[in-house]
Amino acid sequence: MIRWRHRLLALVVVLVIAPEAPASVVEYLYMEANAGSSAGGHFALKLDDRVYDFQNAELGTLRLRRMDYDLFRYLYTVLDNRTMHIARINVPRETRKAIFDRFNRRYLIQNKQFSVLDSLSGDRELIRLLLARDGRATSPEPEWSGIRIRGAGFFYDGRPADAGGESPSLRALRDRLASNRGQAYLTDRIAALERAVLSLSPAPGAISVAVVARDERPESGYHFSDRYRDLGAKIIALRVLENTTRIRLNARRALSGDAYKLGAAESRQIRAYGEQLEIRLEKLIASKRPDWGFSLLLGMARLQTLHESLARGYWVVLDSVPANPAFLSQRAVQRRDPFVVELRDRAHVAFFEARTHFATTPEPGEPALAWLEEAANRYAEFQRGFEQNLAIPIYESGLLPDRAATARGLPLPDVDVRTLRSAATAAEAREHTYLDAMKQAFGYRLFSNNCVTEIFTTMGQGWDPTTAPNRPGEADDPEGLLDFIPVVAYRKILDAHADAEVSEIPSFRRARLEAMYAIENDLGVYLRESNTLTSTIYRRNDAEPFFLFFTEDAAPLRPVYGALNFAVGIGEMALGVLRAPWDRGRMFASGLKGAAFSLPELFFVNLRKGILEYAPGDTPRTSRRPAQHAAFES
Amino acid sequence: MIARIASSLIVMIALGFTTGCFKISATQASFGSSSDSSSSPFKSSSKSSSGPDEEGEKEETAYQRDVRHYTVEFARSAGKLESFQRDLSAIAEGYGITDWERTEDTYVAVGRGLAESELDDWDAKQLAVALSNEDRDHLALVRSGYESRRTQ
Repeated sequence: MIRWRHRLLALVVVLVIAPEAPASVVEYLYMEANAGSSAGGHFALKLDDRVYDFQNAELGTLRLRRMDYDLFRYLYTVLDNRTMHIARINVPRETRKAIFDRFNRRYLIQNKQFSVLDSLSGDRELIRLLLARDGRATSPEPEWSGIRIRGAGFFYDGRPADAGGESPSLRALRDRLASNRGQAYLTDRIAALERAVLSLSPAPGAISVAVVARDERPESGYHFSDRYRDLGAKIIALRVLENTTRIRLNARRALSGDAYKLGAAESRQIRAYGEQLEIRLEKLIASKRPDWGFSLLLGMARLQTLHESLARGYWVVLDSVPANPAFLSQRAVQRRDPFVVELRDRAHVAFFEARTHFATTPEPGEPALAWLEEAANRYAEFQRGFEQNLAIPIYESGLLPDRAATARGLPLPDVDVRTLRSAATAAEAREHTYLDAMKQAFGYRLFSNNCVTEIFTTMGQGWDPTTAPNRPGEADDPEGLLDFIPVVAYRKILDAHADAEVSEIPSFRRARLEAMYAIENDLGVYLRESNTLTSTIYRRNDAEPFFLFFTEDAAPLRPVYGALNFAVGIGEMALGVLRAPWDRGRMFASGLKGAAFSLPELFFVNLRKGILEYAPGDTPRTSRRPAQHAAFES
Repeated sequence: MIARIASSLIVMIALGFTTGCFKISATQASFGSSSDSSSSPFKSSSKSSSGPDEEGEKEETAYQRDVRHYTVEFARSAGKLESFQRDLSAIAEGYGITDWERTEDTYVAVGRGLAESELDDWDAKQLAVALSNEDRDHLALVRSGYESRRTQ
């Protein structure tokens, strides 16, 4: 606690007593509270077009997140209906660079730290599977393997192969490889990789990766399960190539209709890209990097879709919809809810933009194709949903098609049971120890390790407050007990920087209300929009407990509305008791939360603003303006 | 202000300390990806450059920046090459790249990262050779990145 306060002090000193240098800016973002997951508000740092913030993550940890600013703004000010307050502070260019470096490096390092945990968990799981195989009464099935390999699902899904024979695209690649490297090249490589799998052995118990330093890249070696998966992917990829296996029909999306017809420029680009891809794939097979298998599987699948696109005259792309997406409900699709229509239109525009880029960019690379695949999939899902009145999958951007599948015929490490048992104990201990170390390093703690404290801890790395020549004014003193609260930290920053340029992005509801008041009858707007039953801005959803009155814009009546909201929460709890046998206490918990969030309203304090699943309107739905409301007045 | 803080604390504690820092829901993330001005992260990486940024880095893409930063950390940790290569794969995938060996940006950024690290020239050279897999073309790119950074 004290440490990060000192770092805040150090930062303030550095910022205030800055040497003469070209100006640059950092922006602190404070998001007002809401009833969602941060009742105390939220705090973040904006550098250029990216926002860095810390959020609760898996295993009770606090994880640094990096996000596109526009998406961040949309999530907080529109969907989460929180007003965002922004303090823009001029700093020397070198200072800003140092801050940026720290945050970006920490982001990358922490991702690595979490990936080590995944590897340790993978080790334990693989050893467990190997033990289970050896424990079977019958002899082990040679094709048995419970490990899923990324990219294998492009070509295998456990069902009989689709009709159509071998893939001409892969035959050409195989012939090219045989011509350049010899007829036996593929067979020899596969045999060598299979031998490597057989000789794999889990790490002995002595190896430890339990030390988690917050700001140091962990070096935990090349894990047993990672080695197996890498080798497995390479073997499968080379077998696909050897057998010139066709891509599974359900792994790709053959699109039809005018919207997907190839233009002349697109065809030219596909042809050029395909030729380049073939050359790259051949080089990939000879690569020394340990994990080229997935890249080869993906590349071979893409090669086939590109050739099929040319043959059909319409786009054929890999199916990139993730395995477990969220869905727009079938009812919303059937009703053609405005937001569903808007999302479809956006998907259409995005697809047009992606294919235009692919068609016109001088040398389309992997990202251009990945972008096009993603956009085509999203739009195709909307089209299909509209045509057949189906629920439409929605999912995050930036996911490559990866089709993980359990591979058949993959050899398993040849490890005796005694070694496996010993390794199982060691793997479990290693995972637990590392997990404990992760929680120690990154565990979320409300008062001392939260989204505010970590911003300043990260900033303060390497800055020694004892070397600062002067102490700033009293207002900068970070010794307050409540500095971990976002609004307090934000005010402290404003106090420390009188020249800060302060702006705000009003929440979606606040902005809409202002617009309504400007053109409609005030009383009519108030009566209609003051409650969740008749509001045209807010639509009730499952994202938050039910409540009756908005109290953000009703300061004088807040306790009265709060009492009614509280009563609604209590009522929901009572009903929840009756329904508990059927809903496992969900309604009761919702009522409890609703009542708890209403309590501050009894004391004239508003937290709840209404969470939206979707907000109608033009883009951008919220925008920045000079500050009109104090961040801490409501 | 005081009432607000007190109320926040009461609610946070009443709800079992679970109301701390925001956690984005999957549904919100999905809507966010489909709505407003957000777009695919592959879009920016498919362009040749993100343009000059405030760091004075000319024509450095976000991908290059990540690789540069990660190379600095790798040089500090004296880790294993194969581990670094797998980490590079994870970084590259975020930008829609799986075959990062065939992306020149990768090696230029590795060179810049080595120049930024605290390694002396000899150690940096050894690491450059290892990271470029002893490939002459890759090594030349690493060197160009290294020298461009050193001369800044």
